Amino acid sequence: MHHESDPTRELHCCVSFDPAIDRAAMGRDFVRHFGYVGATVDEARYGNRDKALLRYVAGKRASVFVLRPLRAYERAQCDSLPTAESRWLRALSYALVRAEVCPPLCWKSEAIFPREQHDGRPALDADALDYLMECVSIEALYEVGAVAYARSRLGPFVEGFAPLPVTSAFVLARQLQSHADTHEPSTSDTSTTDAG
Amino acid sequence: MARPQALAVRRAWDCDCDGAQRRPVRATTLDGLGASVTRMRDGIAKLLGDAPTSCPWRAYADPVVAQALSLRARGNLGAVELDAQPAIVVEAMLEIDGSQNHVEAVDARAERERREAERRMAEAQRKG
Repeated sequence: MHHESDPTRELHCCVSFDPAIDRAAMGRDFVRHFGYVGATVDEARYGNRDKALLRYVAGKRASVFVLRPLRAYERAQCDSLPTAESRWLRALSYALVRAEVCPPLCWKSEAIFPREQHDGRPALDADALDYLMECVSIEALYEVGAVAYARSRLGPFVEGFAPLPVTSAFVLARQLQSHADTHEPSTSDTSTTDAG
Repeated sequence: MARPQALAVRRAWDCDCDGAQRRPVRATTLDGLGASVTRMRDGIAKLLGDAPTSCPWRAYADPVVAQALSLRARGNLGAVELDAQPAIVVEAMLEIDGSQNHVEAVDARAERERREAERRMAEAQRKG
C-alpha cells in the first residue's frame, strides 16, 4: 500500500482536467490515478490518486488540494444532505487543509487555508468556498469534494478509493463526445423525404 | 511451522506479503497446510459475504484495520469520543464488530443444535 492510498492520512489531490497534467504522457496511468466512469455502473473504476503516477506538462505546475480524513460527525452531516453535489462541497469544506492553486488551472498563484470556526476547528465557510470556486471553477471543487467524501467510506483499498465524479469536466466532455459520435450521420444513413 | 508449510499457507492465501509475485490461488498447486486455506476462505466468504483478498497477517498491516482494532480496544474502555474519530476508522470498527457478532451468533447456534442433537440421541437411547 502506497502512502496516498492510506485513507487515514492526508491526501494531496489534483484535478483531472488541470491543463498542467500531461494526459498523453500518463497514458493508462491516467485512469489508474483518477478513475474511470463508464456508461454503466459496472464499468466504473476507482482511481488510486497515487502521486507517483502523475506527469506534468513541461514548465507547468498543477494545483494541489490537501485533504484530511473526515471525522465521524462530519461524515454524518454530509450524509444528511440531499444531493451528491451538496455532500461533496460540505465534505470539501471540512476536509480541506490547504489549497495551493496556481496557473494554468487558476488565474493566480495562491495558498488558501480554511478559517477557524466558532467551535475552534478550521473549515471553509460559504465565502471561502465562493472564492475558491471563482479561482478554480465549481467542477474542480466537485471533483476534489467527491474524493474527500469517498475516502471517508470503506471501499476497495487495493484498487484505491477515490472515484471520478460524473459531474467532473473530464467526464462531461467525454459524454458529450460520446453523444456527438452517436448522432453523427454516417454514409449508410438514408435521408428522409416527404412523400407529398 | 516448517518453512515449506509456511510457504504453502502464504501462497494459498493469494497474498504478496512474502515479496513474491501475486498469483491467483487456483493457478497454484495447494499442498500441506495450504490446502486447508481454501476451506477457510470459502468458509469466510459464506459466513461474511466476502472472501479475503489477502492473508490475515497482511490485513493486520492495513492502517485502517490497525486503527479500527485500536479504537475498538479503547472504545471498550469507554475512553474514546467516537464522533471525533476518522469516519472510515469508525465504519471499519463497526464492520469488525458486526462480523464478530455474526460469527459468534452462528457458532452459538451450531453449539445449540449440537447439544439438542445429543439430548435427543440420549433420550432415544434411554427409551430404547
